[in-house]
Amino acid sequence: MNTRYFVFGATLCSMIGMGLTSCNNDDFLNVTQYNVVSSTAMFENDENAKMGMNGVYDMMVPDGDEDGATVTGDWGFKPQLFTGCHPTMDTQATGWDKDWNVQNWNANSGELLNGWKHAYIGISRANDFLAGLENSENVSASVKQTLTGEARAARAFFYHWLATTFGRVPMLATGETYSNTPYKERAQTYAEMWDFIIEDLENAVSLLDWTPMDNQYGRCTKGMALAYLGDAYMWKAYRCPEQKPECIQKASSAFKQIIDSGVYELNKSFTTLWDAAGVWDKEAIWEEVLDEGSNWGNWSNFTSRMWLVYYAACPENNGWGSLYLSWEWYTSFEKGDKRRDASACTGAVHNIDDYTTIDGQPLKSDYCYGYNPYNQVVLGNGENSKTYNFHFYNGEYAPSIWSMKFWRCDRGSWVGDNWTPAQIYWKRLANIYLDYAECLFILNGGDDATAWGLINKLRERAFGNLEVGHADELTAKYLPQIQNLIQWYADKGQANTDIPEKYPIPFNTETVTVRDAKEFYTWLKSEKGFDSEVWKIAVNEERRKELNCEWSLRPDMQRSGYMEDHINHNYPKRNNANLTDIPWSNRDVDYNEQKMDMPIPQDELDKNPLCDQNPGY
Amino acid sequence: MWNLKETTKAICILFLLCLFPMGMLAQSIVKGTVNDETGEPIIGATVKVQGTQKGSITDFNGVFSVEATPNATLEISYVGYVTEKIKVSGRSNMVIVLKEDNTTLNDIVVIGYGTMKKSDISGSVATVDREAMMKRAPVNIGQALQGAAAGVIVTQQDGSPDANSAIRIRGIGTINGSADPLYVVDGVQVGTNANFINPADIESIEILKDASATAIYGSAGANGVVMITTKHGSKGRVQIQATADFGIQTLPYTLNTLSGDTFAATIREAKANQGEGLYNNVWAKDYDGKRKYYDWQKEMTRAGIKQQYGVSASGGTEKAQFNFSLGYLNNNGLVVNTNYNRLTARANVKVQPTKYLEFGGDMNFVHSESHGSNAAFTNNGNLSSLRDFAYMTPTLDYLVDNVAGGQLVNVNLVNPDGTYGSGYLNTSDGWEGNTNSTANPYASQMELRDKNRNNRMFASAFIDINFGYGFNLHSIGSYSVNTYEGSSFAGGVSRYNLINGQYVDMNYSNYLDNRYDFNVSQSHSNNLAIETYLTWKWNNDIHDITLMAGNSVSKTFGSWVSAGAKDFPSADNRLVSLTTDLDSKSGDGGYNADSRMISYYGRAVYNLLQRYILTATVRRDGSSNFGPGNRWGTFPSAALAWRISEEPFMKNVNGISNLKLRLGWGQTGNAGNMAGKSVAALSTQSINYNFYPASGIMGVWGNMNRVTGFKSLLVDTNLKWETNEQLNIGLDFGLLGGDLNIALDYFIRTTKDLLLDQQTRPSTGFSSVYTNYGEIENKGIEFNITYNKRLSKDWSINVALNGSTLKNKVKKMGDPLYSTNESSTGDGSNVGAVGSAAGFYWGGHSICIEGEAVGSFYGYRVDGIFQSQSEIDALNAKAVENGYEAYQTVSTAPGDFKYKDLNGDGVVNANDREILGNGIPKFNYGITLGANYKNWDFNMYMYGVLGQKILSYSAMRLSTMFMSDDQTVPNILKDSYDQVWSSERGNTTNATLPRLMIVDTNYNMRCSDAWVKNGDFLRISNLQVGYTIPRHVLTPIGIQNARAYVAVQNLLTISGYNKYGDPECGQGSVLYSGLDTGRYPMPRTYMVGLNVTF
Repeated sequence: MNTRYFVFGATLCSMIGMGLTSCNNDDFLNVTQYNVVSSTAMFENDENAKMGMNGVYDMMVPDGDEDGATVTGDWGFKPQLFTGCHPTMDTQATGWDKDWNVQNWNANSGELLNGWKHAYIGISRANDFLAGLENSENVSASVKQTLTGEARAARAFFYHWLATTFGRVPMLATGETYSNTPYKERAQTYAEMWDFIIEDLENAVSLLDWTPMDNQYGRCTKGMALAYLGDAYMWKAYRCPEQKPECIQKASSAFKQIIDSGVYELNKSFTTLWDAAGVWDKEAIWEEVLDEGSNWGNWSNFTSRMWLVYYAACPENNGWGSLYLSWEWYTSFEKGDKRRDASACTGAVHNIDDYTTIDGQPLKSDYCYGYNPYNQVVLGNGENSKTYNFHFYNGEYAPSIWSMKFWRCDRGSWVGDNWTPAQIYWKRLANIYLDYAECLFILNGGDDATAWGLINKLRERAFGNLEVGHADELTAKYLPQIQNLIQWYADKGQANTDIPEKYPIPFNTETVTVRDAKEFYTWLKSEKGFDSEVWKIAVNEERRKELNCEWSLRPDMQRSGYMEDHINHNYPKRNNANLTDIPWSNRDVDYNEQKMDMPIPQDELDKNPLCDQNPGY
Repeated sequence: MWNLKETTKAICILFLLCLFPMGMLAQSIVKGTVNDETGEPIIGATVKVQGTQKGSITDFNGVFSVEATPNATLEISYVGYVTEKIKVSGRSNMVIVLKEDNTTLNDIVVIGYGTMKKSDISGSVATVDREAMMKRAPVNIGQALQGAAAGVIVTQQDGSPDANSAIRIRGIGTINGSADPLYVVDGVQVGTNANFINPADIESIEILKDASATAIYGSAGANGVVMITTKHGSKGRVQIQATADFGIQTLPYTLNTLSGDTFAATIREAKANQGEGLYNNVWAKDYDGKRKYYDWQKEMTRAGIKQQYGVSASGGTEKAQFNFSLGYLNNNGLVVNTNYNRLTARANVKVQPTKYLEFGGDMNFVHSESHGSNAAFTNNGNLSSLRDFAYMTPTLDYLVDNVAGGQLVNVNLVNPDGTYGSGYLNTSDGWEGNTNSTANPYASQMELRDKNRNNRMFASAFIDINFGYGFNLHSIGSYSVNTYEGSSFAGGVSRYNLINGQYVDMNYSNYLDNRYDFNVSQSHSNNLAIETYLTWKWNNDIHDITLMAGNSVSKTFGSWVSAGAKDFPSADNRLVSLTTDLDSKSGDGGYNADSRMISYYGRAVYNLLQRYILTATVRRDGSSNFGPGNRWGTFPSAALAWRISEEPFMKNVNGISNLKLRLGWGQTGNAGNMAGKSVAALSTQSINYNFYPASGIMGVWGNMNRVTGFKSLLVDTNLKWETNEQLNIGLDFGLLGGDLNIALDYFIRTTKDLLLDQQTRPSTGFSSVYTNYGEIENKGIEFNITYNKRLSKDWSINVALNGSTLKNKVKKMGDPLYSTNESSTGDGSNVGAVGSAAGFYWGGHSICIEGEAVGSFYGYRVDGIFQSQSEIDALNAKAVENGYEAYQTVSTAPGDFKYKDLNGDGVVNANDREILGNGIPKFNYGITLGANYKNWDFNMYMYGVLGQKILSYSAMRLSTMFMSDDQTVPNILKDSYDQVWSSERGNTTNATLPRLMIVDTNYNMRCSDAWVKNGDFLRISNLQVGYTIPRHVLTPIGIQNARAYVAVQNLLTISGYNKYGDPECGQGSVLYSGLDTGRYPMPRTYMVGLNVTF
């Protein structure tokens, strides 16, 4: 019997012992996941941390081939063009995108949701990255500092787009994830939202250098952070009028630092800004580069992330009708302003000679009439082409003008060359000049000489005066890539492939006289009857000409308080049924300021019960 | 079932008798024989003198001898028989007849971590009748369980030799998780697949259905638990048992498709409907009567032989018992060049060195090989699906260079010299072309050189200590290893056709990659587990208490490798490194993450006055599959039983031998396939971003630096089990003196916190997250009725009927989930997919949406057939007014289906789809009819469903000529041909099917109610006549028992669906219940068998 009790006791103790050793023994339940890369791997060393930040940068460009979406314009084009340019009517669209001409966007517009989602992916990655980086022990202090600055600048960049597009949006900070924040309300006040963004940017400014880490252009820098910081302060001033003087002062200070740094300078020629040979030139502060590298024409490995050419090209040259420029914009240029021909080409419109620009010059371009001189595409499909009319009719009317900023380094045919190297500027020095000028006018009044000086400097460049004496240098830098491009098409046996000997739009060799900005815009105000002050007309009309098809146009004009004046005087209401033979846009809706803040996407409202809609939708 | 308690008692009595002083006064020897109702002696019956310790056990001839006074009363008992009390009344030689006990109330039933008398069970537990089960000669557990218990729905996925079955206990409670039950073999959890068990080795099966019974298995018990006890040795002489089953399998039916030149006429009609002439000129009328046609259903099948043999030895002494068995199965299958082989070996031993100690162990080994039955036929078709055979273009003939009026080539499947012929190889002509790109499906099947091999070894050892005072401790450790090896070898094939009197090499390599291609993959999975539990029992006349508490720890781990290459010097090479094309070499492999679990569990059973029984259980599971914060889950249950028939007020109620009310509630969990989904991880997708030097250059001449990156995945760190909650109310009746037994159950099973890919607010930066959300409800009534009656000495009958109703509903799940069965289900079953049609309005044919059943059918509603162009024009005009191009398509013409514009917007598009039904039967039933006459026995087993809908992709394929998944032009049913709208044949207003079109511009083939069919069926699954050879014949030759039988399996299926295929269409995924895409045909098998015990 003793043995029996011994066995009983021993077994019972073993059992209890076994139970206790496994109880709460999470070590046993912690298993290694051999087939996944653990989230902590991102911070095991400097190199991995940099790769983690690359995951955030990945969202600076559209969804790419890794998601099986090779042609999407979910970011960096459609949402930005449609919200940043189309509301100004200087750019227009047909087909599926026609509603963007007539303020008929709504909460179900797919482009809004795409942009919203894309920006929040970037924010989510930045938040995860910042949370991990903060707790990392294996990343060196210097790399940690720079990457923290980059991640905060990148997060601010995405929030900046959301804030300037939608008004107040949900602000998710480091540590807020789906698990602890399944729903999230919008920022309660504009001040709260912009302070969040400003804090990120001020941190980034303090942590980053003017030169990108490892000399890798494409990384956030102090200059990029300052550019967005100044912009953020101007937005805060617009949204919170009671804090306007202080905010404009701070914005002005940020812009001044950029200008004074000497890091950035204007390209000598405006015309070369979108060339393949000019990526991260000194004018660029922040840009999106779509590039295949050596994978040109390879269906299976796109890295351009987007077939931009098809969005931008004329529909009779394989375009999809997302981007046209208006004749109102085309006629706004003074004679000799090279920005018009550098920016767009027109159809070979039969009765184009019946119309002139604002100062009386013929509309017909020497270089870009029915022809794109960069890729040597003849516009239209020959006899009876719709490009011969002022308005191209493709189910809807749209002006026969196409952007050469985006339809330049490619052609857009479907035979073995479906690629699109392109660069899209988010911030360049020209933006800073105009923003800084605006600050100075607000702070010091409409006669501020420094501000007028900055505008005149841009105008001098626009008329080609900075090219004088540099023609050979510019030709040497930019022409070979254009020759390469044409040679590529020649090798494919395509038509219209004369290897160019000169740059498509000749560089100035002699200085021309440029009308003083203040004098010109004083005249323009009386000519067109604008209601705004002359300085505001000058800053914003220069933006139209300098920054056409760039994403800051509508936000800058809205923030500046110029949109209504612009729409009412540059696009007066008309009632023309047939636009084939007349250049003017047929605006038939009243301007609605509320519509400049885009609606919160319906999908967000459906799945986030704490989120509410903007007024007006 | 062996009554352990009674036997033990008898042995003890016998032991005591031996000690008793012999030759007591007034005692005399009473002898007698104990027989059953047929007069056969009962061996081992216990004969006890009431009120004394005296007793005896009957011998081989049923004879006993016991000392008793003349007025003593003898108590005679034997398992499965009603205990008799008979007075000696001075007799010295008695003949006692024991009556079979049909009530089985005293049977011992295996429940989780213990056993219990059936009468004491308060949950819903079904016992499978082993004898009836084995009469169906099942080859795996799925077939063994078919129709065996109410509420257990077994759907054979196909008829291939290595077929799986979908087993659902009380419906579907999950969307992403596994819906398969847990198997527990001899007390060891073996996962959700028990195909490694040879049914012949099974002693008993219990199915725990409601949560009050399954909660003791906690996070693994959500889909029910199947408790399997295998045969073990028993005390007594050694018994050798041998079984042999031999069967011939035949095709039970064929699909009645068009034959001969009528098929060519359908092509001409279809092309005319398209407004086109023939492209493939072989279909011209000029060649009618000249083409060589094949009936693929005949060519691709054969009479397959199925053989199953088994031998077992068991026996033991008082202190040690053993059992050993060996089984072999060879199933050749119906489809040519398909085969399945299985070898099973099992050994166990049990020893009792002392009265309070027992230990033992089991070893189980299974080796299986399968070949040929899961071969893919180009684009998601299936080389072994009967529907594919039926619809394949019935000829391989073509014209040389496709010249109209040119030379016709009659293609042989097999040439006289044994080489294979070939249809036209140019795949671009497939629109109205020949069978497929490999151009000879028979050759493709015969050339299959793939092999799948599985080895599974399962070993366990236990120790059982009886401490006395009611304490018992049981500990069992187990190890299981499962290895898989799959390989394929292709290429190096030739085709020859007779052209101009000579056999011409068709230069296969010119069209297809004909290089030798070898791939091999191996994987193994290991499981280690240890369970220990302590039980305490105590009782007196009023109270009976059983308490149990235990702990278990388990760990699963494994790895895999695969490698392959192309281009080998010889057809015999199976070594990757022998490739002559090094670039074609590929290889991969890795470790699987461990899956570990720790559990604690307990149970209390309190039985008051043998009338009121309360059972409560709780289990706490910790799993490595979940994040640190949510690893532990607790699963409680409680059940109450009231044995009303034991109440004093029922004693005078005649005819009711048993009446019990059961009430149970419990919770279980389902982790599904959760490993790794709660772990914060980085995406393995590539990320590219370009950095440049200052003033860089884009394009081919560029100087950018592409870098890779990491991105985080969205993981819900709060992820936890799906929780199943079940309420069960049951009533058991025993009537007619126990001859008639009825069990009724009503249950509500609710799954909460479903594991779903839930769409998130876009501002999370992710579109969806795998999380807990939603609710599914299953409700149903089950009944089980058995009637056993001995009508006379020679005659007895038995009837068993079980049935269950089921209503499945998604109560909450947020956004609907649309699914498309685009590829085979990947569960080893031989089930095809909707294939290329998925891109043409079959996408999203399955929907999970609130208020409907899981995986409901989703599609368009047909509103008749357009009879005139004006009818179409009127609808098109309205559509144009509303801004649409056309009502359906611009090519819609008379003879096309007209679909309902459900939302009234003037156009038929994806918004006009709705729920078309679901594939979950409203009622399942099984019927067993048995009769015995003297030594003859007869058994018939039938099962079926009522209220079942089938979404029949097969019906679509067999009714339209829309170009098929493998680019052939489908052959259609004769019945369909007569129903097709045809102005040429004058069948318009009476037509029920649309006009023939190869390029179906109206998409008449789209997923619609035209293809939703009634799937009710009754299958006569097994008809068997057996003869047990009388003992007086066997005894002299040393045989204890012998029985021979003849049987027909799958004799007949009565169903309106038969013309499209077999109505029993199971898919592995819960999302595709009732979807029929065609499958390996279910054979009809003619069996003979012999079972001999020595």
